[in-house]
Amino acid sequence: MTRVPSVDWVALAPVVAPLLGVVLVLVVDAVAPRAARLARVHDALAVAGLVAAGAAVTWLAVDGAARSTVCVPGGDGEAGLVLPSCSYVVSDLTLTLQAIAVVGALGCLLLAVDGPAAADRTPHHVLLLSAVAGVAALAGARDLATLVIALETASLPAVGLVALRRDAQGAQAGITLLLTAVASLGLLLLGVALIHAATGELHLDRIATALSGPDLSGAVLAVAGLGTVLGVAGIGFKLSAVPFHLWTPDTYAGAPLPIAAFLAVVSKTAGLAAVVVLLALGLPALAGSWGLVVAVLAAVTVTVGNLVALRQRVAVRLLAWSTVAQAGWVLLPLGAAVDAASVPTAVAASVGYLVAYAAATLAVFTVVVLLARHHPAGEEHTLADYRGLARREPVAAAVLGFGLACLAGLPPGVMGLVAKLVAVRPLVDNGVWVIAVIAAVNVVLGVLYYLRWGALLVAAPGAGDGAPVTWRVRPAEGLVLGGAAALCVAFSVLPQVVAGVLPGVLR
Amino acid sequence: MLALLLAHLVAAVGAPALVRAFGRWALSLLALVPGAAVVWSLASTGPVTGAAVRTEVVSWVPALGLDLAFAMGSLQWVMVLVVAGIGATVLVYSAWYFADDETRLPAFAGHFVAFAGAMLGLVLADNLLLLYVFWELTTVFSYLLIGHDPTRRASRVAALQALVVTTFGGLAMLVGILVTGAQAGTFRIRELLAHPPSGPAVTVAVVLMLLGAMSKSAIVPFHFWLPAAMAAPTPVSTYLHAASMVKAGVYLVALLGPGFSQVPGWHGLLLTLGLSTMLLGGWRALRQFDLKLLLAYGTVSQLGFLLVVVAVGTRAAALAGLAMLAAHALFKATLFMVVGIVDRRTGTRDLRKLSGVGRSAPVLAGTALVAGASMAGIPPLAGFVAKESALGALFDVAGEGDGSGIAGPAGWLIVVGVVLGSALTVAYTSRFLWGAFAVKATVSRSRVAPAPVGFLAAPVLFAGSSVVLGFLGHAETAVLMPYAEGFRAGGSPSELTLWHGFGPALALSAVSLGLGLLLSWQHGAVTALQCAVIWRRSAEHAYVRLIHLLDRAAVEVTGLTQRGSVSTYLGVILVVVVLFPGSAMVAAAVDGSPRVIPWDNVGQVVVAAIVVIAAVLTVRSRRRLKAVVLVGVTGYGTAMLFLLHGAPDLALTQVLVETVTLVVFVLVLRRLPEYFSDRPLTRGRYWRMAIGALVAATVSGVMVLATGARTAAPVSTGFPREAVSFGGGRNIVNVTLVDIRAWDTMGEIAVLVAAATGVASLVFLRTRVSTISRIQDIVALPTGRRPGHGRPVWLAGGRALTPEHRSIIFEVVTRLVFYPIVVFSLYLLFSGHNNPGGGFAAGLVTGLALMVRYLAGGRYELDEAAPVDAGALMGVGLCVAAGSGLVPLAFGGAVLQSAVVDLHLPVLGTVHLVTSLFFDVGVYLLVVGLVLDLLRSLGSGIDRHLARESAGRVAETGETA
Repeated sequence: MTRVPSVDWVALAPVVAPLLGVVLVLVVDAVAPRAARLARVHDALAVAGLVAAGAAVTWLAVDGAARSTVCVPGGDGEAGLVLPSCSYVVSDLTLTLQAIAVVGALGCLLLAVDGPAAADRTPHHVLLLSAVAGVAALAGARDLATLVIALETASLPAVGLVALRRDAQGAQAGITLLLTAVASLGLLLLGVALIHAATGELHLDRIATALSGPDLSGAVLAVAGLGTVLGVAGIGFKLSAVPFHLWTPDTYAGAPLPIAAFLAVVSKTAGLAAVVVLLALGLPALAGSWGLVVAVLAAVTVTVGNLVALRQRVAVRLLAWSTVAQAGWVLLPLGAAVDAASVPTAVAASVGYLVAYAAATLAVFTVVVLLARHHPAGEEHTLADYRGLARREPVAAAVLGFGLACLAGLPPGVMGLVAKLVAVRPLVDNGVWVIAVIAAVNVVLGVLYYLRWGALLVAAPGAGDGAPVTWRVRPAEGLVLGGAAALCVAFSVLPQVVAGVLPGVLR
Repeated sequence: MLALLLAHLVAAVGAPALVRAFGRWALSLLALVPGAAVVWSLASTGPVTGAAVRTEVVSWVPALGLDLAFAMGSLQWVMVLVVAGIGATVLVYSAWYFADDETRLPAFAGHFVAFAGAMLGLVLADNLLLLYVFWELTTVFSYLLIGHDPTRRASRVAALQALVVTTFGGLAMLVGILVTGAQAGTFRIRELLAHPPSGPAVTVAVVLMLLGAMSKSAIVPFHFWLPAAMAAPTPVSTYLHAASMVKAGVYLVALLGPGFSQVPGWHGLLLTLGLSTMLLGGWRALRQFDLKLLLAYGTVSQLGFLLVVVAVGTRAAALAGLAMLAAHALFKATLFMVVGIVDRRTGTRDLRKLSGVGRSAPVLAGTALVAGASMAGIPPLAGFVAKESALGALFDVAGEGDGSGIAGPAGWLIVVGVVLGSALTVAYTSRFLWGAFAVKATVSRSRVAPAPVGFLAAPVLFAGSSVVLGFLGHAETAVLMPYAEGFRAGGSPSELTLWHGFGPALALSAVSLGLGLLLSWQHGAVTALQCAVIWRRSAEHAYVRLIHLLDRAAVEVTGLTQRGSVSTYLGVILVVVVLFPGSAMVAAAVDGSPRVIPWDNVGQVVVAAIVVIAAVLTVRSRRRLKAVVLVGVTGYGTAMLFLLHGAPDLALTQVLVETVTLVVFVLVLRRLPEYFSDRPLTRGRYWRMAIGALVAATVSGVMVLATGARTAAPVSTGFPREAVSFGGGRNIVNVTLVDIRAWDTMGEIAVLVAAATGVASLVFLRTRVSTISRIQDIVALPTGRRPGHGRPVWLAGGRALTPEHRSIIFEVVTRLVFYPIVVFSLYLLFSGHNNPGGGFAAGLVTGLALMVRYLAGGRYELDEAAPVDAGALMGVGLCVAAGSGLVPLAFGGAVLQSAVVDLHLPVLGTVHLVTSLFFDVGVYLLVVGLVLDLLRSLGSGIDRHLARESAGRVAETGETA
């Protein structure tokens, strides 16, 4: 009794391209299992999959046509004309989120190919590309089922990626991530089910219409509200928003560093995509209630993240906590939504912040990966190991310093500053003063630890340091370093990209 | 103006290369860039005097109202001259100051030019946000400059302190800027000043901006960072801490003054703190031995004075303030450069070790004397002109108010304070001059290496400028007037001039000079007093304590949140679920309490009670096995509830699932300790019980609420009719699975395969245990015989077990029931469409049959019973399901569409065949594969582990024996 809807494969290309990459990698692996000389072929195929996805995103953006696919037809319903609804929509929002995910994943992949994770090339590439496909699908998802499935497609491979470090710590990290992921999935499913129960619709635009009706009973609204809260809680885990963040530090520390970067950039994108798609597209009518929830969540997240980050000594742990705090910043503008009309600006601010965050985080992680590879303590190295880096590796130190400045929102990291201003503006405009003040306090806290780290770079090397190792930056790593730095600089010179990333209309 | 800034940027980027190529003389070349700014500024003197403002606007971030807007009026004109002029000169001076082998010189050059550019941008910016950007840039570059050669830990700490304090000030300022901008609707400074917003929000905003200004200008209570930052090389101190960066705060106050000086709090804050700073800085300067630190405290004092004069907000004071700013830049830069030369030529800056330098280096001493006189306010120097104008203006303010609104006692207090501060200035100036150049009887004469002319050129030039500027009062007035006209004209004429005539200003100048000389004459008494009065709680302590407190809080929060235990993490998540959705649920339930039917029949109550009791006993049990069995009871109870509700098919499935789960649990438990914990149980478990109960209550409540809010008829009411008409079956559950929601089933079984594969590889950290080991493969049985020999047995695999593990009765029964169970499962499979059963249930039953074989005969028996790879079975099942779903396409149907075929077969009679049966077969195979997989990985796999371990133990004991 089910029909296959017609599919616009061009619109789906950003989702399909990584999956094609997965298939090709698997085929090569099946034809010639464990052939070491084919390692570069695996890498090339995986990179090609992501590049193709990136090209598709670019082409769709340039083309600019409004595309949507997997639609159910409209018609005359009981309550009047019903418009056709689609499960997948190509819009500025979709393309922006996909671009962040693809570029971020490409960076992480290039960082990983020469790292320790490269030993398990096939599973690594397959899992990574699958997760990217999940994020890409998530960005375009416009119904509840697609949303949940895409979110899980984006999440579960990450568990495998984390566990790829085949030792006790990796397994522990994987288990922690898996258990919290499953718990959150339960919450999300319950929430989504309640929303569906309250409206009887799967498609987000229809849910939005159903909930904006004038004669809704209080009970239905209550169920929808409960569903919203549970849904936000479920997604909060992906963003590692407090209190669903507890997996973050252990998992970051237990995962291979490029995978930690992947979690920080791509998984965060998935989380924001899910939040935005669910709340802004499906539930704008309830903005008054979820706005408050998100605001509190965001405020607690930035505060706890920053406070704990203050005392971290291990670089990757500090980064883990900083990403917790940054997740709060990403959510913050959404907390300013007070009614349906204020949602688009809030979403634009969130996505803009994410753009800046992703570029800066990638830059910082690249340098951390490089240092870890050249340091006896490896991935466990501490901040003190950055002392005097500017004298030994001026380029890497400059990139790291600039990235940290961007994360702190401190000039010369104009990109970060503009992102923070953009994030705070909806709060000020809508008069959410308490949260705005908390945000301001958190800028100070954040600046403190980013400054401490950045300041170490130019400090004189300590007496106890051994002979410094000259870094040998491999081409792939150099590419990521240069690319991430170029993005940070470009966005800092032209911050309008960050500030005006999305137009006013949400689709 | 943008071009000038870009020139700085290019020069800063290219500077390291230039310095590497041409050595330290490249610094002189780089001086051309700020030099160009000076020339440009001087060329604009005409228009600026005519009150014209040069502007330049380039759009940058329109979304935020942040554009590259620049403007130059008379205030900016002065600042550009100070910033760029001193910058250029210090660069030339640096070329002499540094040695050729200074390794950090390339970086220094780049940072210095970048800083000069940032400073230039700061004073030219006509957009508050842009100003903030440059503001923080100066902070960053100043840190890089101070950190230029930090060999000692103390200086590193100091540099970081300066960075943190000024950055935080900047952030406070940013908040102020944002609020101001939000209130005014623009960030353009000239528009803001033309139409200043007002209201309580603006008051807060202005105070925040002033905080930024004061932190940058090292005003009390932020003053401690400036002397600490004196670890920098002297050229850096000269430029940053005397001429440019610390003036940024004063500049900001001067900039905002015309628009905001009447805002409540402006005067109170700035005048009080400015005056305190002036006095405190002067007082501290009097007890310094390091010449540079003496000057540093002197700078703190002078900045306080500048702030007071600029903040008063009358036309005369504004004029005097700008003049003072220029004069201070000239004399302080001179003095710092002199200290640098003394340091380089004698090797020390300690005034207790210097003696007779004045005799050996008369030109240097003369230069310092001129600058010092300007600082002390002695005619005919620029410092005197400015200070006398300032005193006159303040006197007028105290007497008549002059439009400032602070006439009377407050005004007089200011006058007295400033006079006292000036006296201290005179005193520390004389201490400086005496300390640096005088011949001290108790100290041996310092050896002074002669300084080259070029090294001296810069300070001499500035000292000369101090003299010349003293005579240019009229011209200075003309060019500064356009700024001062932003303030209301006071009663007395405002003009900068050497000779104001006999009046209160001259008297005040004389008084302060006299007092100062008295202080330096009585320096013994002053020292005694210095020793007597020491503030234990300084602002620096407060800063250190604050940072310490923050770190402490961070540690506490870390300890609270980061326990490293997964169960804690999950507990936190669940508590949140109870708190937020739970409370929302309660609120909604109270609003419109849903109707609840307690029970349909009493049997349900009995079963529910049993389930609850089992649940309570579960959480109380210490043995794992007991807990598992009790959990099973809750599951079977649930099945009973289904049955009582009239759903036998659901009940069947539930029972089967429960049984398989129980067996799997037991298999796993073999590898786990008998008790959950050997230690006494902690109180934590009561918390966990409470959380569990609350979560259960929350979820149940949500369910009740959701079903209670139903407004439409349930979709399932149509199922019984449609199941027959479309699906061709009367078992609604089965029809739902294989037809109505076949897509869902498809997805679920796909996930099941993936999950099974994943779990198997997670458990054993490698791929599935795929080898099938039949009994024939065994070389030697425990009985010592070869397989295939001996009499026939009930279960072939059983022979691989050691005799004490065998149970003949169990083997016989297994042999007898195995095939009936399989046949029964096939019956369930084929009849499932109309009766309880279906592929899923049938698969589980077959799985149970295999389980019995395994339990009775061990892992070889399992492989005898099912000599297939579990993964292959699952794969085949998935393929069959997917294939049967696709077949209808070939007949022009939709995916997973089912057709009903009624066949008349000879023996069986009429067979009612629904094509979805094939889909169900796929499900069946898949479930069998899954159970097999579980048995192989958790049963056989663990067997193998155990065998290997015991073999190892035997080998060990054998060796030791």
